[in-house]
Amino acid sequence: MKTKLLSLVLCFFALFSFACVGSAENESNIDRINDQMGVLTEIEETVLAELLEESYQKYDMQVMLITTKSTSYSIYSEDSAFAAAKSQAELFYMNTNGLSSNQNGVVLVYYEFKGYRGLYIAPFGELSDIYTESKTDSVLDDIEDYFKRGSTEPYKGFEKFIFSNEKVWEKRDTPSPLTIVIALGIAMVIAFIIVSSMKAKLKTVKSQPYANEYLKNDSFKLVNSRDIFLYRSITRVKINRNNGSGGSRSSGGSRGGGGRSL
Amino acid sequence: MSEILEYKCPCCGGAIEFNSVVQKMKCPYCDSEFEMDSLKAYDDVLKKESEVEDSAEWDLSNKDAFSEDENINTYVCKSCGGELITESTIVATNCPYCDNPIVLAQRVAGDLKPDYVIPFKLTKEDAKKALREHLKGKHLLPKVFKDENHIDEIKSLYVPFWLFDADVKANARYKASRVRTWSTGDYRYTETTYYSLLREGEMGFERIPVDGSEKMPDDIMESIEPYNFSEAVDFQTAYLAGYLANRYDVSVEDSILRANSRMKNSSEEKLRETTMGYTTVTAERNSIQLSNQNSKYALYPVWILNTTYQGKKYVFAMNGQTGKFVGDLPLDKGAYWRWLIGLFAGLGVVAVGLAKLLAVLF
Repeated sequence: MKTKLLSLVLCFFALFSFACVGSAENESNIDRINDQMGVLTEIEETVLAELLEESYQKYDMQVMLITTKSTSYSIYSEDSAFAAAKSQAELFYMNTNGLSSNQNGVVLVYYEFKGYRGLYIAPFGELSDIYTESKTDSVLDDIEDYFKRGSTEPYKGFEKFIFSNEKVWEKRDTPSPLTIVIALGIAMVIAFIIVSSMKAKLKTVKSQPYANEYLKNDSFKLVNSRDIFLYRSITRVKINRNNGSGGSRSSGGSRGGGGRSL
Repeated sequence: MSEILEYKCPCCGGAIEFNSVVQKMKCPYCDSEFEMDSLKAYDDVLKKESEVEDSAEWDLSNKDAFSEDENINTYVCKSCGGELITESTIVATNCPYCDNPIVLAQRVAGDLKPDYVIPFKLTKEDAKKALREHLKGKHLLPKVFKDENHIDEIKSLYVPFWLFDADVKANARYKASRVRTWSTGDYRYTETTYYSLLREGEMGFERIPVDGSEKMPDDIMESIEPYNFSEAVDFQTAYLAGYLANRYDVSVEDSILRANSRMKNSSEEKLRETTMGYTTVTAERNSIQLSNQNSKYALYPVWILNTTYQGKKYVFAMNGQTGKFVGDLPLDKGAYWRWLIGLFAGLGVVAVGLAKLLAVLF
């Protein structure tokens, strides 16, 4: 009896361990680099994979890199190229790697579709709120030189992206410069109001334009009162209903982020 | 021909004056108090006596010296014999040599006699205390302005006022609008309806005061309103003893405009209050017709202090009956900027801290 009980407990622990290992293996099975264009050497890929793993371990967020030339989208403009790049990022993040759009992560896509070259950042989870237009532009400013035509250092661009993304994550609780300017502006207005009220206390001399205090009690009598209708005017304004066609409030997939053509 | 009235205590012969605390004539030497009515007969006797004496003296001594300037007169103090020179508007003053209170009775006789006087209720100490309170808590006031030495120069003064009564019939025309909004389908509608409002009303005003002294700034005199007229009494010269007093030098005709303006503004405001239920109301025209107009001449009590700071004159005034104190104060520009920068720095730190906290929380 005791032996059977012990066996059961051992089996339970063994199963639990396999499950942990299994999940660890699943996590480590995540493919974070998809170099379809072949711009990275094997060594560069390995180094980048290690950096991406470190980033995941440190911040619990999945950072992925894609280079691609092919798409099923019809490409005829910059915006259609961005849409194609975003779609590739979502497929890779959610379909290929089985991650949810609510899981923290970001995908950098370096694409070349029918003459449209560019970069696209597709954030997921909390990073969707962190990657505002200005933050996205800032990160793209950091890395775009490494991807421009004639550049032979896309690896450095990817490396720079990993570090820039970590900085974005670390500073996520820092208010933006605009917020600080607004806060200081409000402080200035409040300070000015307070000092103005102190200054107003210095002035107590005021002429009395009215004689209300000298009105005889109950002497006021309204003798005549007429309200004459003159005319009426009616205007109308169309109500602007926002259908969310910009995609920023779409459920599922990446939101926030953005792209830049090179 | 002018005359001086100097009120002597029937008990000890000292110079008595009106005491605002007990509201009676009081001798500062023997502490005797006298009702105003009981001194009225004495007042008449004094007038008769002084008529006889003054007519002989003034005729001989002052004719040559002051015939060129009608605004300046000379008097001889009965107590010390000192000669004092006063402007024609001064009604009561103190002898500059022996500080004896003097009332120039002829300047408040006949047509110049006030109908009413509101006696002083508050003392010099009350005025000094009010001035200190007025200067307290003013962080932008230059520190040197709070110098205590100057405070003793505050003086009591009866200021002449014209009091106007009138019944007013007022007419006003307003343009008004009413706004209504609603939404239907994809549109928001705004309907604005315009009206012309006609209002006619009657009301009565009594005892609107208008400052009758050119020297007293009108805005300061209006700032210390209102006075409680129920405490006004029929004029007697005895009330002026111990105080400075001026007679009017702004005629009633010149004062009427100000009274009319105040009545017009008040009647328009009263009619506007009857225009209810509109989004906007704008006055287009208003007029008043007066009837049963009446004017009286009164002396009202004021505590006053004049001072100069950095070449600019500052006047402080306190209502001698109610204690209302007014007076514009100078601005310390250095203090202004220090407070502004200091507050901005402090509030800025708080604001940025709040912004960081919000960024963390949300």
